Amino acid sequence: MEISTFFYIIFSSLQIGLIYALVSIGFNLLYSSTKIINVAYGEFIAIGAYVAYWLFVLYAIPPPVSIFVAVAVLILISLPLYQILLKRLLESKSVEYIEIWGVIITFGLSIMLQGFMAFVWSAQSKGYSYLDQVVEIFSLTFILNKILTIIISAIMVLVLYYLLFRTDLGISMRSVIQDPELAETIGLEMNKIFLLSFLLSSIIAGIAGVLLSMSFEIHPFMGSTYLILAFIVTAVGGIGNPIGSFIGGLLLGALNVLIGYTIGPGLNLFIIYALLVALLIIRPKGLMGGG
Amino acid sequence: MKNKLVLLALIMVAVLLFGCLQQPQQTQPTPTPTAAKPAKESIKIGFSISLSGSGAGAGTEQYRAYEVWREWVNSNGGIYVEEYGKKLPVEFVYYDDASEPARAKSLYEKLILEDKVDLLLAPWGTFIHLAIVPVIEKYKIPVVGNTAGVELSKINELQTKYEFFTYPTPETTAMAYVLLLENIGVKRIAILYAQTDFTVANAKWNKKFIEDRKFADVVVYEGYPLGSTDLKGLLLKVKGTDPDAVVVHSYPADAILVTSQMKELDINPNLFVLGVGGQTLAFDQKFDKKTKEGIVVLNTWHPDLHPEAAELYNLYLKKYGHNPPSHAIGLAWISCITLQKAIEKAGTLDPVKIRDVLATETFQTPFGEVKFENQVNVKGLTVIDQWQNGELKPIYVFKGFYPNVELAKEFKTVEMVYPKPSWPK
Repeated sequence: MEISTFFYIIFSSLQIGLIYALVSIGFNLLYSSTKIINVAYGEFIAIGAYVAYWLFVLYAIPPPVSIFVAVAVLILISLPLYQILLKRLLESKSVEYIEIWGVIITFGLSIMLQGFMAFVWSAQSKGYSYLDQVVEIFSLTFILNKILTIIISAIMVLVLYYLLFRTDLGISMRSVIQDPELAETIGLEMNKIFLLSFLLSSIIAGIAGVLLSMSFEIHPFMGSTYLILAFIVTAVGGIGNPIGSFIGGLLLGALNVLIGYTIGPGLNLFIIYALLVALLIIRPKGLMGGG
Repeated sequence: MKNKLVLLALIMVAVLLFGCLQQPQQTQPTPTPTAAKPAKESIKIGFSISLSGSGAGAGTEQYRAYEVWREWVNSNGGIYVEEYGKKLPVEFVYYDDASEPARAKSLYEKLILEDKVDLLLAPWGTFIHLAIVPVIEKYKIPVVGNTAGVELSKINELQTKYEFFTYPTPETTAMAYVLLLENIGVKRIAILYAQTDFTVANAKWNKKFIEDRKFADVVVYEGYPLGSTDLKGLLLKVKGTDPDAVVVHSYPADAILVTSQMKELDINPNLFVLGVGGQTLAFDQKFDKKTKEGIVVLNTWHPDLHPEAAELYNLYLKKYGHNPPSHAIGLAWISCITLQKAIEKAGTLDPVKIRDVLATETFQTPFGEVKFENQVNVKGLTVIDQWQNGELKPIYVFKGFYPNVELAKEFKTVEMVYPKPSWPK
């Protein structure tokens, strides 16, 4: 293997792994703290992508700026959704009840959001070209928007790490993740933490959507691909541990590239799912899920 | 208990909303009298189309092309049907099949039995075309297919009398590809393909013809799952073989992915060919003029080749805004106009009689002749387009049917940009 190929593999794994990680962290965080499997998570990603697309096409606003607008839009959407659809559900003490009804409700939400986006913007795929220039660094070539994606994803992962491990809010969230009953006993405001988890999860999805929109086509049904990714990365990395999502994302990113390079991508999904099954047999809670 | 009731209510609302999406959507002919039903006031044509799911992008283009044709026909008074002694406007009844073959199959049955449509138009995509065959055979209503590329052996296996395939078979398009490659003189070819029936068949025949004619080596031959989010590993392998041609039998989403990652990895073959997807709106928007320059894509029509087709294309642009002349649009019109001509020739709305006309007659359409032999259009064109200065231009047109494919010199094409310029930096 040529040395340049080696570096391309490292870079590509990192680039894809970080975006996988980012996509999965928001999904994992919400499930960990509320036990809601948000099937509409992919649609929040699509909304972020559309925000970036329209701001760029209509007002030439670059995606890094659109991130802030996407955050605001996702908060505006998520707040009423939480109040109307999830707040009462989360008052239940039964984890199974929350899990089952959470899936049903967010499944309905997913279809409604897809339908809404298709109605308003049509199902036709869209795209835009931003920082699509190739740059050469140490005789390796990179596309600028991919480098930007890596930088923003890495910053986001660090910010989330700081938020979850170094702030009171994060510590409260993690307490709820690790032992909800104890967290409630010591007087944590569960509803507030649930709401913040939902908002944070939606915001992460929105930011991931903005980043993905720079590389992929945008359409109302794009979310399903990323929802499945979030599922796999969360299962590999470990439910209940955002750090697990980070590691799972990088691992899957690297696997994706390596399988493509060696065996060929035709068997990519088969190998990844086979490894997932094997891993879950050995460690049912994923790599970092404890137990 | 209260929680449960609220949740139940929400679910019911969701289910109702979902149910509403499944109501037939009707487009009325302009203007339609609403008086009590006389003998015949319109031709009711039904179809299901992918307005959601994996095929929604191309399905939407196809649906829009149907709409443009309907308005165009109705603006001329409709289709003349001899048995009624007048022109009848076209009315659509259609459903979203969510890109699911099973759903499409039951929707076509519903269109025939409940909505009682007179005739049918095709759904989107090869696999959905195939899924509805048992229904149209059972009820004996012809469908002039469009976005379906099916191998001859499979068409024969279907033993269909009512499904007609306008799109050139993979054997035919693959042979056109190979004539192009041989004509240019490339020697090392990498063939990649999305793992769908249509693209696998194209790639298979593509490889076979190259090997049969012995003018070049196939240095990479690899498939990848549809919906891949990354193909860099595979493309690094391609880069290592230093091919002078990369041929990707792509679908829309992966056409963007492959192009973007080829550019990123600075893979610069003299010839870079994409299948369907290289001519979509998203592809056009995604890459700037310099990046697209020299990329070759597969098509079946181009407004520059047929001035009459340009009229429909201009109507499309006026109604829906900018869109490159993608294959889904052209194919939709080829099938609509063929059906229209068949109705006119048959002079009746009797589907069996129309089927017989389709099976035996030759149709002049704004896209050239259409003639079905054993259910397959043997007059279809394979148009090779190239992105030049930000626009899609026809560079080669092939006619004929496997194994007698040849260059159609009667069409005026533009000179090919070769070798493809390196990716801009």
